Amino acid sequence: MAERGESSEAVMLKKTEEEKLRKGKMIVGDESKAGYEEEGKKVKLVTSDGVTMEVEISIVKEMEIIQTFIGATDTDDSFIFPISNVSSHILNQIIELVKGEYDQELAKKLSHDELKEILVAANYLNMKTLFHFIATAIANVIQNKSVEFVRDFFGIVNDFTEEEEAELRKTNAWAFEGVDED
Amino acid sequence: MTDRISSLPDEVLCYILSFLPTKLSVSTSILSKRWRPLWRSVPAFDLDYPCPNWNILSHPGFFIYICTFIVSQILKQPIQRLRLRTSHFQSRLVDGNVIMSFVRGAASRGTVQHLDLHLYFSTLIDMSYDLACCKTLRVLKLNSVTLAVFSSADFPLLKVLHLSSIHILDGNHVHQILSACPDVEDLKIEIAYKPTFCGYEDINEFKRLPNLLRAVIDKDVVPLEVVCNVQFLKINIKAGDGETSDPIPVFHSLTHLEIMDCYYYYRNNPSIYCHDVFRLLEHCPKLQNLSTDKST
Repeated sequence: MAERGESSEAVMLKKTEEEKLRKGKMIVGDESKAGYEEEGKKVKLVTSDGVTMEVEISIVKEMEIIQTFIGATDTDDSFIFPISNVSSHILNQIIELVKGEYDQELAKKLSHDELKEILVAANYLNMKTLFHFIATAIANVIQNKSVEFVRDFFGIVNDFTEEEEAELRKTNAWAFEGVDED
Repeated sequence: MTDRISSLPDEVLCYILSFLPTKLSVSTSILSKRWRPLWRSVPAFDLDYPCPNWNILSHPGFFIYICTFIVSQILKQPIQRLRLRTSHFQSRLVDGNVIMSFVRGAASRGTVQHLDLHLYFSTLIDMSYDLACCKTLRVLKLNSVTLAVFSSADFPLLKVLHLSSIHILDGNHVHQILSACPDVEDLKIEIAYKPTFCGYEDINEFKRLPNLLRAVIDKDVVPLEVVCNVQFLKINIKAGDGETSDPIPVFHSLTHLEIMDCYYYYRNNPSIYCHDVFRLLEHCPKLQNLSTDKST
């Protein structure tokens, strides 16, 4: 949200920066693992619902957990990486987001459950850009929403007593004014 | 799903909170006992909160509370982002010097990467002193302050520098600011006030910024040579600019050019305007888009 006011040029600039970063990574990768870096190559991942998916190497490169695994073992093309924490549906969503260059418009089409699942997946796969993207998208969703909305979104059980909650509201009264009641 | 989200570590939740205005991240303390202390660990503070139902003016306690909290936490918690906008409640509530001592305190851990201050002109920021601990800065945005550089400053990691509606005491300070951030990619320098006859003295003092992609500059305070690597350029030509005979460099990468605010300068000399613009365009071999003031 903090960046909402930025102009389209600034966004353009960010994209060029990201591209540069990505290209930079590729070059480093090329030097260290020459055989592994073929254009258009795919890596097999098996999801929590047992689906084997072939994912482009450029996308797998953002999954640091798999990069660590590749670095630690001798793997060949036939190796299938299990990602037990991510369903095939969510993996497809992630692929769309990466291919769409993390456009916030894409985030608006995601359901609340998808947003949360992608957050869990990004944390598990250690995908830094995706994690940043989805955290800002969730911040936008809960912004200015009522306490009940946010509790519901995160599945939080209110474990305060009525007195405790009233006391908290009194202490920092300014924090609880001006939110939508929906 | 509920279990999966609640099994995430606090750091993940704090990361989400770091994108909310501080007022809202404090309000999540009411969600549950687990959430109650989380906002205190968020490494970002955003004290700019335009909201139709909530006027910061009626809540000076909010500002004081957060400042006190941050200062009390300085030794424990690194602050990465700090955004502060006090222009709407002005010096009536909080003195600019108090704000700057607070900013210095927040910056003293040497972890601030993103600093965004919108204050008021009576606040003097000495970039070499007030921001001395900010060598980690990547984004620096200052709006409506008086800027000075009384000794050398150093921002080796800075990528984005936006100075908007700035008062300067001496034209040479701009040169010192630019020398302090050799890696900057996105530059905006819009001066609202400078003493008369206080442009830059010696064009040779300035060095070209090699990584610059985008620049918005006032023509009389930044020589074109400094920004000649840009892809996007917006030039403000203010009233009263003297004619400079500085050589125009070739803009090899420039694709977008905007020329603004020229009306007062050129209204009596439209032929000079055409001459100057054409002379500039001759130095932009890759230009795709050109826009100018509608008045011209």
